[in-house]
Amino acid sequence: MSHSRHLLALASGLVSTPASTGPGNWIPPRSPSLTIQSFFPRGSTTFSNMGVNTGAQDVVHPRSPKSLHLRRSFISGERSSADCARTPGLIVTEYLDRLREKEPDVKSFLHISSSALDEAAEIDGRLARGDDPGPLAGIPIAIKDNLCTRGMPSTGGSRILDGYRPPYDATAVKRLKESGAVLIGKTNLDEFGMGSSTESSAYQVTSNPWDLSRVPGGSSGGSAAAVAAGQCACALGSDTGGSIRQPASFCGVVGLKPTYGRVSRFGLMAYASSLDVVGCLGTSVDDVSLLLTAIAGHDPADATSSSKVVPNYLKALVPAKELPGNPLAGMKFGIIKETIGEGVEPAVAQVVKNAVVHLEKLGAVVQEVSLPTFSLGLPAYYVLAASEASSNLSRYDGIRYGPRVVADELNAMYGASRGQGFGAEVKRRILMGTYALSAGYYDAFYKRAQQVRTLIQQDFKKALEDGHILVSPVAPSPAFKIGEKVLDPLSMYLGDLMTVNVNMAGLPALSLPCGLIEDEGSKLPVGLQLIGNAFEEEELLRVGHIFEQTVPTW
Amino acid sequence: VKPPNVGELCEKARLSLTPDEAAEIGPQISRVVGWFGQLQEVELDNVDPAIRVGHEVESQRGLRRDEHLDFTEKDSMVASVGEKEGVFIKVPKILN
Repeated sequence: MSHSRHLLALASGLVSTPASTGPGNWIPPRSPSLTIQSFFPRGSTTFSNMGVNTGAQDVVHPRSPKSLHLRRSFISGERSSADCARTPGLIVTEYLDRLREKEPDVKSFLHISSSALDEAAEIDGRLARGDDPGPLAGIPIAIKDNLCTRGMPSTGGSRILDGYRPPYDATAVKRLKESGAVLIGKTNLDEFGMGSSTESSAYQVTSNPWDLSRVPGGSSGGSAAAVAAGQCACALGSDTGGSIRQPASFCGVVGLKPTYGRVSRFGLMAYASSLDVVGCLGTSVDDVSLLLTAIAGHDPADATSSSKVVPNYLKALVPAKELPGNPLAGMKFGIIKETIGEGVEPAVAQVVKNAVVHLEKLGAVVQEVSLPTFSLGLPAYYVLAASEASSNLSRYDGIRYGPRVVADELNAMYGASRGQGFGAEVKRRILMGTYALSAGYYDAFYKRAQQVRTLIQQDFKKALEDGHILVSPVAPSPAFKIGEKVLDPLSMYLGDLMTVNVNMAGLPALSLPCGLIEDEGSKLPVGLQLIGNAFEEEELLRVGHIFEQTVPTW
Repeated sequence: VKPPNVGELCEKARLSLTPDEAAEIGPQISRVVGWFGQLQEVELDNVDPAIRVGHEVESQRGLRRDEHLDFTEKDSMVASVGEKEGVFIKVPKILN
């Protein structure tokens, strides 16, 4: 497909508006009429007759590498006949317009940048002078609000940081700026990353663009929804127990959780320091690869960051038309037995099994593998995460930043500032963590959770040893309704089953849109999770790219 | 193991809850802690606790050079502080 047709597709995609089918219900304009529960046809699926999307009007299209197209159009100077100049200024203006248009429904943003257009104009100037504006120049990127941004407020989704403006940028943010990206705003999240629906934000509830009565997932729900709704080209998020992958799955976008240590955590508001990572969301694997290349790498300010060389992740990706007949020949995948049985909605298991059939048709060998300690990971994760959180959040004392509640005495001031500043879920986790770390309880809870962590790491090591990439659903269900799980915290935690173990082992994982499920008249995306060995993001992205290039359009 | 006592935990965590909040949070926490109980039923003798992720983080092997670094954002950090008096941060008195 020619480059100018890409631009045409991009141009028409940018100015389209989604078809509305009624209040609170938004279906992407080009959704095919689905009567089956996934988009995988039962017959053979040869990718030779699957082209790249040809001018889809759909801004939620899962395979459109928007950032890559934007960059190529700026650098190559190619213009289609349909438009005059695709300058960063124009692109950012269009994204801002669409951001504002969708915002009353989706509510993904806590803050919109007031300097985005100025930054874009500055890049216009650099391009005009023939300077290299950087690999991400002019691309509108949204930042999860638990990443510190000097020019914009950073609340962590919490009242305790209401009005806080950090004096520095997170390293990942700094690297985006250095690459020329335009940071378009800060996105909504569950408070301090604690949650799986974005409902525990102190500020607003974000809606899933696929069905506004449903959650976008969490905790990076704002970032995922913003990407899905076309309010930004791609976004940064964070993942401690699935907080990038699960919202990516619920919103039908690509989400990457990098290896622990691949991306600096400096400037990420700490939730659980041995589990947190910064990662990327985008409409396609290309964009996520572009983003990872920009932000990854050693940082002297983060003692847990790796000095391993950062490859150009984009270079590993092969366009569909250049793929050989069996592009995954020789590759082994292991579908995790414990994730496709009990506790997973049958429709989700079916969509994932269909995706596995697709992998096989691409030449891969897929076996069932067992991770026997799999289900123990969930309580172990919550003990570790709550314990680390209780320690990390003790810095929010109302003294050095954020609102302070007036009191006569210091401890009363702490108690009141924190009691009023933190939301219910954060308070629960702090108290549970305090309990698990109390003298006399360490052996019963925290130490045992760490021992389970060892077992989980060993299970993964064994399963990945034979060169397998592991496969599972991302979540046991598609997006649930807003309010459905808030009354029962435990039911919310149970949804994290597929994702937490990956954080405990520090491995990289990719969430790829792989199908749609029909539920009460809404079409809801389902994500496929690919898990790789530490620092093998290249392989995950290469495989993910092949997968997404060869599946049918929505 | 004694079940969680919300009052004691709030004291340790420097967190003040209203009586209504405490009444609601208590059972929720107890339920989750009960669910943590599955960890007691697993055979874990001879398993080392994992402090961190499975792969080695190489940076931890080295120390940085012993050289002075300037932190340039002192002013903006201090600007975030709520109550100041001269060069001091002002806090309520500390009773014992």
